[in-house]
Amino acid sequence: MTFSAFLFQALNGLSTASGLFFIAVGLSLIFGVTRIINIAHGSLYMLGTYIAYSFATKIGGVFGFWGGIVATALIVGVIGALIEILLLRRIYRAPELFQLLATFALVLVFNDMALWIWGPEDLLGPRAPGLRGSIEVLGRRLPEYDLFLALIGPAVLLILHFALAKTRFGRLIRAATQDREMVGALGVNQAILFTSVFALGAALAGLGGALQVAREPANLATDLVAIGDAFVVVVVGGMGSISGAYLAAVIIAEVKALCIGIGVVDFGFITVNFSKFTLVAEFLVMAAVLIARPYGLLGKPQGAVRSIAEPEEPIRPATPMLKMLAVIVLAGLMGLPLLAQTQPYLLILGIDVLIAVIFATSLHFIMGPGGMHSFGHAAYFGLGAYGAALLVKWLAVPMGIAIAAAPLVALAGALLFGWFAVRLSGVYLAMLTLAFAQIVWAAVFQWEGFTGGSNGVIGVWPPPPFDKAWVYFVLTLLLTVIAVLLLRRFLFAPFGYAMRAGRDSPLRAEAIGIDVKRVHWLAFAIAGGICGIGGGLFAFAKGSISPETISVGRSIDGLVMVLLGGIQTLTGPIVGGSLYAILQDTVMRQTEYWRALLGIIILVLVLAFPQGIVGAFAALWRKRGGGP
Amino acid sequence: MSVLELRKLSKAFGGVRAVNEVDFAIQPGEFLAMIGPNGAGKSTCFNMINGQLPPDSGEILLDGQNIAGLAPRAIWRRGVGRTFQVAATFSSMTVIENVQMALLSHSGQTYKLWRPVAAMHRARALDLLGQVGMQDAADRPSRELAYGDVKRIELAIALANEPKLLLMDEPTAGMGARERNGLIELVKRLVVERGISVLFTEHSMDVVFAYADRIIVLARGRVIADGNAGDIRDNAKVQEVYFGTGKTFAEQHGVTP
Ligand SMILES: Nc1ncnc2c1ncn2[C@@H]1O[C@H](COP(=O)(O)OP(=O)(O)O)[C@@H](O)[C@H]1O
Ligand SMILES: [Mg+2]
Repeated sequence: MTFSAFLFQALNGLSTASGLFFIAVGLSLIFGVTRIINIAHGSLYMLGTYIAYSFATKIGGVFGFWGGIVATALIVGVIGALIEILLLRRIYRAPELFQLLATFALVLVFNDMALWIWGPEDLLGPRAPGLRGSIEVLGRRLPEYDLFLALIGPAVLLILHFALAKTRFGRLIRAATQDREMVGALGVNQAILFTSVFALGAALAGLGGALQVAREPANLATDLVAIGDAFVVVVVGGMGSISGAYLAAVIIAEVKALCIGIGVVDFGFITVNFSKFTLVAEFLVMAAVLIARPYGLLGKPQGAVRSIAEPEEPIRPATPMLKMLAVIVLAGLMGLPLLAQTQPYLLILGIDVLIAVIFATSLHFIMGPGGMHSFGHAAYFGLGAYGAALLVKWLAVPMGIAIAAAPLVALAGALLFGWFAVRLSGVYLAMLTLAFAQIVWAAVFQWEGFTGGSNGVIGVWPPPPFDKAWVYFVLTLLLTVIAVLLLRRFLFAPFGYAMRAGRDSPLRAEAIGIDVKRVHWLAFAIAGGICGIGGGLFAFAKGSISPETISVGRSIDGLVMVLLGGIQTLTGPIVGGSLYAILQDTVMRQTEYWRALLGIIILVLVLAFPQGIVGAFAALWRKRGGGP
Repeated sequence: MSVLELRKLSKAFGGVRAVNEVDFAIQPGEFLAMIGPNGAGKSTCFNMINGQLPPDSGEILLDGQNIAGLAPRAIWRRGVGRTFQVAATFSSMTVIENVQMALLSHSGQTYKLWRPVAAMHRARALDLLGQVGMQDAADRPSRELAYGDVKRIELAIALANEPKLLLMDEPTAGMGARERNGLIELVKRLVVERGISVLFTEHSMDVVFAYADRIIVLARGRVIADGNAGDIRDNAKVQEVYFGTGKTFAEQHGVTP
């Protein structure tokens, strides 16, 4: 690549950087003040593109386009304010996991809302009036609009910077970001401050989305892609730092541009297409930054953000009654194949339920006793599924080996990602795990030659005798029981205790010689590996897999399962996983808009039980005069 | 040789010199009190000795070896136990499990995945609980305990690795007078029986003067006095720091904070 071509790509990268900056800066601001991670931030960005599209096409012309962009920012700002007033204001005191869940519910609702209003097709807006041409830079043609984008990012950064430094509102934001106690002392102003910050952050996301209208089509997958990008940028730049957000956006965009600029390189023995590695590059940047500066480039170390755990009972071995119940349930499940004659679908559902149980139990292992709220557990499910499916596709290995390899692939991934994840805690860990899952998703999506891209892998059918549903069901049941019992065994062993020790009091744990990070890292890896068993089983149960296996939606499903069953009990995830899988299968498939339905159910749960579902039931139990 | 020796140990937070060129040493089997007004730098000293904070400069010699900057768990493995100013136990575990966890770590079994904890080191843990008078509460959830009892559990945990040096930051904070004397007497007995060296901070002058072998006074990050109860009582600098000029410990006797 010539030097001028290199410079040209660098210039191009700046316009991408502006886009990343707009997505991330609002998220960062909102977190700084309210300590809420707004997962729906990507949705606001996506809505920005859609709304601006409508303005640009329905009204049209200069006014419809440029006026529409401004109007879009304002509209999305109002939506942000409404979210804060109607939803978040009620749950500031709820456990942070519930706040995250609530904002995720909004993602589901907004996504279906966009589907309902704008339909499933990608919508590409018109080109920008007044900036349709391109100018010659370094002997190449650069679209004027890209140049405009490259400039507007830093312009908004400057405006924000001065607004924060010079205005009363800005000073309030900075004070609140730096000192949590301050916010309480603000009294009445707090409500106004939080609403305004939410509106501002949302407006910035809407503006960012609107500005893309002339460049990229509005697309229903944008919300999760955007939030993944935003998380990476915010983690790299440092929470609550707007300059950090821009700096990180530039670094990431430039590294991506560089990858594209390098393109295909022939090393003689191997040909590498670097443009395929844009997402991996993003990961590498984040990894490097987190090693050197765990709080991001311009971030400051924050106090512990791990939520104050609800008081938890010591774990006790299963009571005779529980053991009896387990035997009865198992016997019932073993009897299920007998019904296969009349109701074959029952076995399919049974397999889904068992896989959900593996998924939920392995997530609970790190979330409950480990205190690590992973928002990207689907990554390890997907690694297991793809590991097994790709072994069949490329090496035609027998099913036994493929299913045995699934947890190993997932384990390897969890070892790699977990090493970074355990360096953070609380919401930072949640964001990082989600970003990792997005990266696995994107890698699978982009690496078409190997993974089949969006088409996925097909024809992963189990060989006889496992092609009979009841045989496969028995295999799944066996592996599920093994997985659940293994995790349980680990929890009662010293390792499980050390993991809980590290969660209860990292200070005390370190002071008695426990390497908390290492213990949590290995726990993370174990959970990932066990989850991979579920992934492997899933691949053969469905016969085909697609990147959807790794979607954020699946990660969140896991969270809902765990919360549904109760995070503080060891049987909780088994109950929650089963219940959720059955719910999803029966109720959710009734409507095209099941995502919105699910989102609304989550919102209702969160608003009705802000102390957590388990907390609510426990309180009820106590009121009734039941046991502890 | 001293068990522990600090040489010109310093730590600043921003502009605040929390600990400023502190020197002192502890002999084997010595019961050494560190006193000083709030903010004098006592906790910061403890945090540097047990590795929670890296010192800015200076040396911390444990049996002659510099341990400054090592991780807390590494320092614990060299035989330094610690209790915290704000008691820290594992709230989701029973009392005995708290002690078992420390014993498991001490015997290098942290990463064992198979055998249930319930049967491991139980006898030894009960023995340690017995020494601090908490045997009866062994199977109760630790979060249900009264604060004073939590402090005793911390002590049992800290004794699990048979430390040669025990750091106790305000072990009796939040206790009534009787409970306070009981705990200090207990620690003093352990010091004598096992030859452990103990460095502790304590607000009650009665307790300090009654039990400590030696007393160090810290003020604004510096050691301003070092000696036995008599020396400290009569030291003018100390009196000034504590009461302003004109008053003495004698007048304060009995109305300690
Ligand atoms: N983590 C910290 N960050 C900033 N300042 C601190 C920190 N820890 C202690 N200090 C300051 O150092 C000084 C000594 O504190 P500390 O060691 O806790 O005193 P003591 O335990 O004697 O009451 C105080 O001025 C305190 O405000
Ligand atoms: Mg202190």
